[in-house]
Amino acid sequence: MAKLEQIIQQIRSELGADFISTDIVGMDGISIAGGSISPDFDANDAAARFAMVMKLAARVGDKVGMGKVDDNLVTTDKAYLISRFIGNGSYYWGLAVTRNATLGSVRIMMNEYSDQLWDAIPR
Amino acid sequence: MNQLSGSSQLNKLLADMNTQEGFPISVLTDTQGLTVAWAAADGMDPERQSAVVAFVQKTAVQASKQLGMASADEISVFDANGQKLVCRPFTINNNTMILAVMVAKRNASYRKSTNHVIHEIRNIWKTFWK
Amino acid sequence: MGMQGNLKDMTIADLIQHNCQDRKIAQLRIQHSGEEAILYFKGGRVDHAALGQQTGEEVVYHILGWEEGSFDLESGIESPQTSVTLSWSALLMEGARRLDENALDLEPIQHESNLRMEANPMAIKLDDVLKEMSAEITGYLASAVVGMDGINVAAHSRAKGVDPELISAQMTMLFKLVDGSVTKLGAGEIEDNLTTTDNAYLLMHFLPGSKQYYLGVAVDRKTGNLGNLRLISKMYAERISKAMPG
Repeated sequence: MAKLEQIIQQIRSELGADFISTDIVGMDGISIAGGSISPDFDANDAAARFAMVMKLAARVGDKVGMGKVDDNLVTTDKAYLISRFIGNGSYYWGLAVTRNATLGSVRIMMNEYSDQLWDAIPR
Repeated sequence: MNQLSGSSQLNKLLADMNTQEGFPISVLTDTQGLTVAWAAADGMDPERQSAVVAFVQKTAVQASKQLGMASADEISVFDANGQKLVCRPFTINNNTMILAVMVAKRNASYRKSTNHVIHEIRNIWKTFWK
Repeated sequence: MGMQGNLKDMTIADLIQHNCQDRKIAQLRIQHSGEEAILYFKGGRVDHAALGQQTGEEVVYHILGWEEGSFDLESGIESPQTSVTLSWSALLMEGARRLDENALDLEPIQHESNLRMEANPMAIKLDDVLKEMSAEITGYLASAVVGMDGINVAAHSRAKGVDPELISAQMTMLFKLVDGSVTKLGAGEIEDNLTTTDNAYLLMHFLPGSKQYYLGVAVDRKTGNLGNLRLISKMYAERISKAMPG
């Protein structure tokens, strides 16, 4: 778990002032690591809700014949909310950043850290 | 009558510029670092290029503000081998876009060709996406 | 179970509309002046159309001009292949437009069409807008203007095997869940949702000023550009919103 928290710290540092929240979440909706820096953003609530979103997204992707879902990005007027399956899909990585963040860079960063996060999850 | 769509014309414009000037990659990106159009040699990564370009642009904007300078119309990053990433931000219809090219050869020209491409992008935008 | 009839009592356009809206699996044989066209319905669409050696949308456009003849409708007969990708409404719109423009090659054009189909002017306009947008989005597969009830107001597809109605119904469920989640989290007002799969980007963008409709676009993962997709979708969402009534 220490390794996982360390990677999450690195991610938070890379994102700097654009960071709002990040969590590694099991598909039961329970976060195993991470958290939010914003008092207005309930990370545990977000973890549970977006676990449901990712489960539905996976079913929808399958039903419409578009393949396996990699990630889901929500754009609101306040934030980008990105949820990305990691490893075998038994966990997802949720990340919330401000609208000021460079989305392209965030996506590339998530590509680079996904495998490290998966390897660091205690199993 | 030109049969190509606006998007296809943008891609062709960048490809033609690369061919004429020997640029290995050029991208038109939004400020989110997402690629709007691109042309690249094999092995180049337009997605990564776009993300980096937007990051460079954002840093330059912050630096300009802090120094009380006007907005930059060109930001260049040089490496030790003389290779240059040239970023040309511009605005169309309240959309800030960035044209970025990789100039592989030391002292190669790029300003005239990128000026021309930005002018043509404006024309394409006006024709297809007003 | 089957039905037989005469084109004087029920036009081909009516037959297409009713069988698609009822989402039947059926085969429709239409006889006219010694020729026989065969249409197959599946999943709310015309799946395959054949007339002699010719197949696909052009067959439908051609036979929409047949005013006389007879038909046999048999339920439960599966289509042998997929040769038509447009939605039924898009087929009928385009067919009506071609009849009006006398664009058909295979038969003398009739200047007065007695098609009893009533074309929805809004749907024609939106279908045109989607068709125009399709040329601007790199890697485009399909798009639709969808109500939050999951029903397409207009749809367009370039890819074989893509069912815009099925996709819209499924994506609406997802969009509703995302919207509800974002609202409950107080994470702001949702603008769009982008799902990335192995094969595609699926973008859903609320029409400006309304959470009753959204523009859905599917783009091939390998050939699509996210910046292009978001920029063009945003532009066309604004245009579409202006073309919507009310």
